[in-house]
Amino acid sequence: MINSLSKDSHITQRRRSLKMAKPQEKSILILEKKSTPAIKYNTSVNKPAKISFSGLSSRTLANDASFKRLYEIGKEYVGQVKHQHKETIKLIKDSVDLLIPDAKKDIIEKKHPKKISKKQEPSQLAKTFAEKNKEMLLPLVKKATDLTKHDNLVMRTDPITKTKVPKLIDGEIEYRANPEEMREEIISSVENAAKATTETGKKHWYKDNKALNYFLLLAEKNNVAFSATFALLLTCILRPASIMTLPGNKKNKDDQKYAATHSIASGIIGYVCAYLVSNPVATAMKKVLSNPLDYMRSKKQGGYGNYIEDSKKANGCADVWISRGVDIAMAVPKALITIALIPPILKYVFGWEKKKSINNNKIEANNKTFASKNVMQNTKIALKPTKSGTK
Amino acid sequence: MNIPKIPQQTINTKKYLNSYQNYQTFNTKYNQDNISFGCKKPTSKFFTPLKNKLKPITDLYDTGIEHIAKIIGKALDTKFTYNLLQSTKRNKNLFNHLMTLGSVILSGLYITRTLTNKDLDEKKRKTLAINQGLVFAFSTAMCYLAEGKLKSKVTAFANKFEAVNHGYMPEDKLIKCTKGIGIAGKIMVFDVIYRFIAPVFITPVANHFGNKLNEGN
Repeated sequence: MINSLSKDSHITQRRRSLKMAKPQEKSILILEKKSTPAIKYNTSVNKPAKISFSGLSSRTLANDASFKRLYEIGKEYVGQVKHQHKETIKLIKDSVDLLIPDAKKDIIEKKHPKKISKKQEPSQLAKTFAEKNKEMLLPLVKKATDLTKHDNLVMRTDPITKTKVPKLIDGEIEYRANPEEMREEIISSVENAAKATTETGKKHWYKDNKALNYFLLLAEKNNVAFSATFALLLTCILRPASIMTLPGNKKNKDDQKYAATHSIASGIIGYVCAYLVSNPVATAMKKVLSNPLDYMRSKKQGGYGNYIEDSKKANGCADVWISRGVDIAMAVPKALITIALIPPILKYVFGWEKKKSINNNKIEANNKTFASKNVMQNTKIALKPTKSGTK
Repeated sequence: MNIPKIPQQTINTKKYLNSYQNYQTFNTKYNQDNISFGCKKPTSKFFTPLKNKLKPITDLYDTGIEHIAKIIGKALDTKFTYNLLQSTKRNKNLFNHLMTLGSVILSGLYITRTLTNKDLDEKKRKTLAINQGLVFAFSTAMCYLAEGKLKSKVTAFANKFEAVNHGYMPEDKLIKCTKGIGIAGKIMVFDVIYRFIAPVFITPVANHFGNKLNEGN
């Protein structure tokens, strides 16, 4: 029995701690089942790309030479029509739909299955295109299926190497989607690739544009700062221009100038407040969401660190809540600061002061009260009893 | 003699993955242009000593960020946040709902200020408050309608952007830029309507309707 009040309690506690400590055993992964081989990734080579906006499959297919040739052949089949680009995309999509086999009926039902769009029957032109160009289409379909499977792998972190490895259940690979959902993803990836084929060779304003990339990275990094910079453009250029040019309630030029400077000052103050408060919060948030176990407890310790690391949707949802929460908390103080700071700035810096406009309602109200007061006074004087007696 | 069996690890890597990785790293323009065989990073005569002088300030900034990160970690490690994330995980319009919530708070503040303003009559207070409420209602409706219609075009632009810029920048940067397109589109729609279109074009319409309501009452 350990009694903390006893003299030798530190000795007994140390003996107990020595008994409890066990050495950490390092285990090597051994795969016994030979029928289902496992996939391993070489960590020495550059890691494969993460899942992007349109998917890994569409991006690789768009830059493939054979796919570009197939697109040109499809153009010839369609001919010179008004919407040639759209109809070639439909043709390729329908031909791929014919070649992919239908999914089996024994599907595992999920709690929240994706909504599957209605099927449209393919045209005869697509059937002829599929029959004549099978040699080009079948390897394309194989490539798209492999890449969509790679996109839909469920990953887990290996505790030894600390890298992401596909999850195995009873030796079988686990996919995130059903066969029907995978079938639709394959078709959509081919469709997205076809949409982007014509744009690779031409010159565009969004090709290797440094300014555009800077603003897009800022939007992904910090929503609040991006909205503040965009608001600067609106409040400093568009709003004053509209006030000065468009006819409105303010007829005097001085009032128009005052309103324009008011909008400019509000934009600048909003930008400064947003940038100072939101930038450190955004950097801290990215640190936490990229390595949640460094700042949160693990599942064994009774925390939710593994939940946020494994589920991508929860990670994105937390990102949205924190960024928007900062904006909501900052909205009221920002507005109060602008209301309080702008008039003295305009008065003492620029020397402008808003002329007090005549409120007609106030004068009428005063007149009414004055008139009513006189009436009441006169009646009181009339009704007052005199010392000499009633008249 | 019992010889222990050495366990054999079955390594079966798919060929296309290795070849795809090598194809990717070889054919990117970024990698071809920025080849480095253990070279040092370039230094400037002006900025590097300036950075060294400002190092204590940057260290303070980093320590502050770590404190903020610990607070965020503790706040996320609760059951309340777990339930909140589970319930709102699958909502696609969560970003838009939270932006309207911020505008609700701001418009509520302005309405309360007009209602408690002593320089104005009661009639004028009511008219101004009704006008501000109608402006808020019309602008939020316009935001949701515009964002719903422009969503397909934004995704098409994102696909084009990704296909065209493949090879002209590293992949991490490209993925971040494509995500930023969707976010930037939503923010631009809301800001343009709340800060430019509402005060310039929607206020006279709302004033017209508000004055009609007051005349009826």
